[in-house]
Amino acid sequence: MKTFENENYYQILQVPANARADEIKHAYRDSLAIYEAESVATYSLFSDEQRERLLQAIETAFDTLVNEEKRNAYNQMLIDTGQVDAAFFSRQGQRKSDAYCDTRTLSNEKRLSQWVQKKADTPEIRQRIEAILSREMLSGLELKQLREAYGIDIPEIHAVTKISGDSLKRIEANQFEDLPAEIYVRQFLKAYADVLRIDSGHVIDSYLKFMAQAKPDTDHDRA
Amino acid sequence: MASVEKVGNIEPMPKIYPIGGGKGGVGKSFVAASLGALLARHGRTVALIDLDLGASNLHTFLGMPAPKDGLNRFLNKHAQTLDSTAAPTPVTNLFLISSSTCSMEIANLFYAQKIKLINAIKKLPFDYVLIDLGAGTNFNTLDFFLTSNKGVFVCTPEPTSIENTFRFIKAVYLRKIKQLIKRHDFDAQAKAAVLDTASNALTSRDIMDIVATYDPEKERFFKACIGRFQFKLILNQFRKNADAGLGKKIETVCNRHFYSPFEFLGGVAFDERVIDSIYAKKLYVKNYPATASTMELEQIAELLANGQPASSLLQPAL
Repeated sequence: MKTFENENYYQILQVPANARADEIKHAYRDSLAIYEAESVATYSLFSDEQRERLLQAIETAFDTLVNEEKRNAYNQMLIDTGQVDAAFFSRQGQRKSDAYCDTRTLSNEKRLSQWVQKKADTPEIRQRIEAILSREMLSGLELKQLREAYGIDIPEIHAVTKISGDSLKRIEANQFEDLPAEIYVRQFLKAYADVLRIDSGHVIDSYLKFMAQAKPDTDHDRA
Repeated sequence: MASVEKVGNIEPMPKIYPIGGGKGGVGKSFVAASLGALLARHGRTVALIDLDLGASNLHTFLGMPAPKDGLNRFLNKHAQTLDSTAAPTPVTNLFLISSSTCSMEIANLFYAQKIKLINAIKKLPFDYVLIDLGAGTNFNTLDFFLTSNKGVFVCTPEPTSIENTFRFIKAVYLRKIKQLIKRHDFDAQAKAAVLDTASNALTSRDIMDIVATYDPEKERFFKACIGRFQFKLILNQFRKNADAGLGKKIETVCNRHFYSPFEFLGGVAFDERVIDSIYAKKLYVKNYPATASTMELEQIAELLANGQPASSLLQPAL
């Protein structure tokens, strides 16, 4: 059987040389879904050792390509060692932005949830998240920090929850006056918390508490 | 004996699709019967050969009684040609070469008979030949699977079935590589190492390594030979809770880690009525022409016939 031995990081993740960060992230998750130990698609195909090495290669490829500095150094190395031609990297702007997002909607939710689980299992991230959640009130900024701790962007939350990107941004930016009625905000917060697999009851209560404190006057005006 | 391998540049007359996949009960016979009927409906002549020797029952899927004669007449030389043993089926243009009337010991076919049969299959005067194979990876099954380079693997989304399919794929490679090594001029040491009957645990990976070590020039020849396969994959008994992307994932994995191109032809939804049809001795796709499973089978038949799905089938009108 062939392994990834002679493949460069782009080939390992099966992304083009000018892939954007979000594409690399998607490709990474797709690869994990195929090669992780629980995957049915590769059931019994590899020995534990082989699988470990494949996963390690995917991990290294992702780590490098998702970090701009490391990626540039890696690209330079590929060119310097003659593994690829410099032209390999200079096709920016020629590609279709929808090249990757068409066939993937089906399992979006599942992949995102696997990703969140994985992140939540990482001790440092777990700690950061718990520190934020331990506060009595949660501002939009803190929700944003939570989201970023998981490494998830707004379009990804939108893809799963169908909440518009604008609404999500307003929640995170504490633009309360532009938000819809509270019942909707509650639903938004619940969906948002569910994606991040955190206690939605707590998120709703503490965000609404913050909101009430931040704009007591407007509430009065309305009343 | 060299004749099995010598297809040369001449494309065999019929398009031959052996249907295998390692595990029993995944629906190989069901898929073979259904695709046979659907291809025949396109106006092509189709021969279904039941080579699940010793356990043949393809006729039941077609909704017909066991033919009185079949393969046995060809093997015992009462019939001159294989095609004269083909029995008509309830579907126009679809013929069945059955092995249900063969001796109880047919599963242990003599080598010479097997070669004769394989050569005759390659010359059958039909547009399509679908070969229904049994479970497991015995030599007969593997050799029949290697009758053409367009083998179709049928499996279900269960881990056990996928495991057997991977094992079957590896067994097919191993058998093919051994054939190549026997028939071509390889380095004596490489030959001895690969054909050493004591090393039963040999895998196709090991073979590649052995050849690369002893006879590096042959490695390219090897890879070219097994790169000529155009394997197909069908996921049968697909239930709603299965991962919808599973077929594509397996296709990706096979293309990345084996040495030949693989194509996922599609999934076929699980349907209780398939069992009902078998009880009723009726052909499922004829009895239930508008179910999801039938439409998916039609798409697959379309892919086999034209290399692309019919546009009318892509978005069922409703």
